[in-house]
Amino acid sequence: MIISPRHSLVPGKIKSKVMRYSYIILIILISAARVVAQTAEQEQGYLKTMHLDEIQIYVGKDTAADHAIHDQQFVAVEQILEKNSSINLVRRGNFAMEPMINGMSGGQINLTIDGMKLFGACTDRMDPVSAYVETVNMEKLEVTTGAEGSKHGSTVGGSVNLRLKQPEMRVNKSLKGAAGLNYQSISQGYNAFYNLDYSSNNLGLRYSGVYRHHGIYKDGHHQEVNFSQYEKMNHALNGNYRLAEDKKLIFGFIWDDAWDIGYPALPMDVAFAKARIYKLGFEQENLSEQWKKLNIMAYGNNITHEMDDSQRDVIIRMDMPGWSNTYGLNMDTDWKLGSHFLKARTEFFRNDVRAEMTMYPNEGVSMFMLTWPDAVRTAGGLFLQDRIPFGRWIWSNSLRVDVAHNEIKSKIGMAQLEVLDYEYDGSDVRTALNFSSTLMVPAGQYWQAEFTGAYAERFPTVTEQFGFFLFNSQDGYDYVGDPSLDNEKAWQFTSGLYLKKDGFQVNFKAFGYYFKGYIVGRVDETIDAMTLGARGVKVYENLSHAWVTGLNSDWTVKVTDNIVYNGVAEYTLGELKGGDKLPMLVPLGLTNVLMYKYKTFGAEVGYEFVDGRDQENKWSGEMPSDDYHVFNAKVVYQQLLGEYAIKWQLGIDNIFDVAYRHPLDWGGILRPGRSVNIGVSCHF
Amino acid sequence: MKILFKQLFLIAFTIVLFSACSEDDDPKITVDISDLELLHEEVTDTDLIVQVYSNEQAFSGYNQLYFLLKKASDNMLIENATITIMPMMDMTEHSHSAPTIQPYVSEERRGLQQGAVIFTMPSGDMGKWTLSVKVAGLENGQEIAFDFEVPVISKEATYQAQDVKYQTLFKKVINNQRYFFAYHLPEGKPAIGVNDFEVYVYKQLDMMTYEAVDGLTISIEPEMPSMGHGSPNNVDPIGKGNGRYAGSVNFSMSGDWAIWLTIAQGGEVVLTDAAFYLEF
Repeated sequence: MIISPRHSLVPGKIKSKVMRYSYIILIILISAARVVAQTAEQEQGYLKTMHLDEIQIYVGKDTAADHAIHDQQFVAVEQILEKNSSINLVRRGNFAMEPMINGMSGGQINLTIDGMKLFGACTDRMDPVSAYVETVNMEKLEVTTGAEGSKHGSTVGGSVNLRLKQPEMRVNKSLKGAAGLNYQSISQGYNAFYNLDYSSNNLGLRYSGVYRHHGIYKDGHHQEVNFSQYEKMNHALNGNYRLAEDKKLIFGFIWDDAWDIGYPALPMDVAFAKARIYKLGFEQENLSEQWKKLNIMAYGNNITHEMDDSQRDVIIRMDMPGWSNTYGLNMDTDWKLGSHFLKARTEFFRNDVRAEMTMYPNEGVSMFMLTWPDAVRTAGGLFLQDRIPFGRWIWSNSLRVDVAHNEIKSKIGMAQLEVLDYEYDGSDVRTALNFSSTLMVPAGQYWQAEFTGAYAERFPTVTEQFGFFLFNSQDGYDYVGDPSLDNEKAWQFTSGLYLKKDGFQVNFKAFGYYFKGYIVGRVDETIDAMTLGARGVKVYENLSHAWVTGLNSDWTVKVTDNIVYNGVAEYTLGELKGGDKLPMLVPLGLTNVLMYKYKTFGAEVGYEFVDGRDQENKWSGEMPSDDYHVFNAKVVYQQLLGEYAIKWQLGIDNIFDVAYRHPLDWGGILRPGRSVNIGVSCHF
Repeated sequence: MKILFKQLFLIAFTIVLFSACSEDDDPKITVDISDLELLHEEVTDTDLIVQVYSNEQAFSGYNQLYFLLKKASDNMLIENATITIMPMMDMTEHSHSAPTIQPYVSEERRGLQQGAVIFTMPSGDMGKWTLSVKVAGLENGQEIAFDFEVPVISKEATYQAQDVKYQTLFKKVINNQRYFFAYHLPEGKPAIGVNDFEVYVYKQLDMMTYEAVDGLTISIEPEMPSMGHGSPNNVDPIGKGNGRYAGSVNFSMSGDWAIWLTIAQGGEVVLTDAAFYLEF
């Protein structure tokens, strides 16, 4: 276990940002490290000692009073993700914030659920995959940065895999469950969750549900932020069925509906966003001495997203529905050949997207176009990872190859491309290669270093290749795709330094990426904008080069048996060719949390500082922002009543009612002001 | 039961055979009248049927017309007759004709002849349009003639087109002569994407005679009037002779479109601040 210090660090990776909205974490002061390590062992089996480059955020147990005093189920998935030092959220409203890894987002990163590919149906990126699942569905969130995240698809930025919670199968039949409700004063909002777990020797079932209803919130100036409301419901059924000692069937179904979602930073809202996600898998362990594990999974998902501006004061009403359907097959195998630990994944998927825009003038005919022209991507990928221990050193190499076939299925879509004078015959085939090599070197008893060199490549997205006059409200331009766009490529170097000594742990990671063919929109003055009031048109192009570099760090100090201090710091820097600053970079951000726990009472104080941004990238529409300091606090008391554990929770976010916005927030919209949160939950 | 099946099978088989045969033998099948509207059908007492088609209801502007001739008795196509047409507007005080392209054997539509009329005004209280058709070169030197009324609508009637700058036909007096400018989409109907786009220019010599005008310089710029934006990569129409100018226009979305015109003759702008208007 010498080189697994980060396991025990994980639960301490908390940014107080998250707590603005509610009740994450009162963390696990005493037994966290132990619990997580145990879970990891179950997960990793024979590979338990080698899990360094993937950061796992455990959502925590929710079925019993085992250890967790916090109820993270009240909080959205992305807000838990944000605890990771390499993740930030792009915020356009109070809902469905878009995760970003080290300043990279969209097609640059993979967002998957249990390794399943999902692609949002919104042309304006208002429905990241993480918006279609709920914390109560989650076992853990696996974050991998850079090309090392290529297990889930070719990527330059990394990947976030949202691991669904699978029910346990215990010899003794049992039924466990939990339910909770919390109220948030700033948006008169309610969050409710429940789950029911049935377990027997060969069958495990877990049903969970979430309902959220939030009104518009007030910012730190006590001004109402219009169009910041949302409502959503999520139901999930997951199950395991044991076929034999080492064989089991795994299935899952998620039904997620959100509606009446306001986006204050955008000119349109969302009437509804619906996802149906389903999977059926087979898993077998210990197939032979060498072949440790086989997992085959077939999956599908159907996403419908309807943007409209019926609530807005507009000259011309507009509807922008989008559809995204994905079907795929994954096969994972784990091997142990001599001293080599091998993992392989083969996958196929097909994704169909279509998005429309229809405008209805008060008089005259309606206007119509396809903003995503029935684009179909059929792709296959092969991922191989080999880990070789050399004494206490570990050398890990991974390779991924993808082949993708893109096709435009509709005549209108092809006709639209002709308007732009593109000579595209309706389909193209492209390949992408990802390679990464990591060396993990322990130094002395407490230190460990890690060095990674990687080559990363990713495909252009449907928007970048085929998007048709998609309005970006941040820079005020309509965006047009280019079918002949090249893959975006990057050379990446990462080094990490980790220290763990007694009650003191520090992780420090520095990265530098050099991009070739960085995909970015450039103004094309020969094309008229379509959107009323747009400043012009940008066409996606491959910029010859760009670079980004940054530091992520987090630390945990066990001050006394009852008090733990935890901090996260991050800073990124980057430039495009020609010296323009890379858009959407995070200036210095610092988060501190002080936690106290005594028996079943817990308390927590958080402090977040984010530096202002004065050197914004003007052509991408970024605004300067001021630095800010925000404080949060919460107390939790857990009451045991026989079989039941009742948790009472009270928190205040943004205690000093600061009017502030994060540099990544769109549209100059301020975040919520002071909010009092009250919650109660019952676990049995 | 078995016998019944057998019989059913035989019947079905026979129907299939017959329908296959009749399709192969029927000359009608070779005629492409898809998406066309029948304007008029003339059945003569000399075993002849003449059908006149258009892309849409006739409107003031350039109207492509198609002519189908066949024998009434056996539906046999007659492809090499000579058709001559003459539009006429009968008004209370006087009558006038309109620019006309005489029918010729169509390359795009099998079995048909095509011609065109630029109706210079809509039908109405002022008067009505008739089209006279003469067919010559038939068997035995036979000739027939008939005429029928063509109701011509004004397509400018809807919302944006109430602005007089938006028309489907422009009339302008240049050097004391009356000029007519009309547009035509050879592919029939406007669609999202690249559309072939033609401008036809004629001048009036007298009430009955019109002459094609060549040698003009035309530039176009499409715009969606309700949105205020245009589209990229349009091709200005270039003179092809006989008053026809061919280019292409791009519609990036469906809706209302105005195609702004700047037309010059010998370096002097003769038509500007005017746009052809259409909706789809």
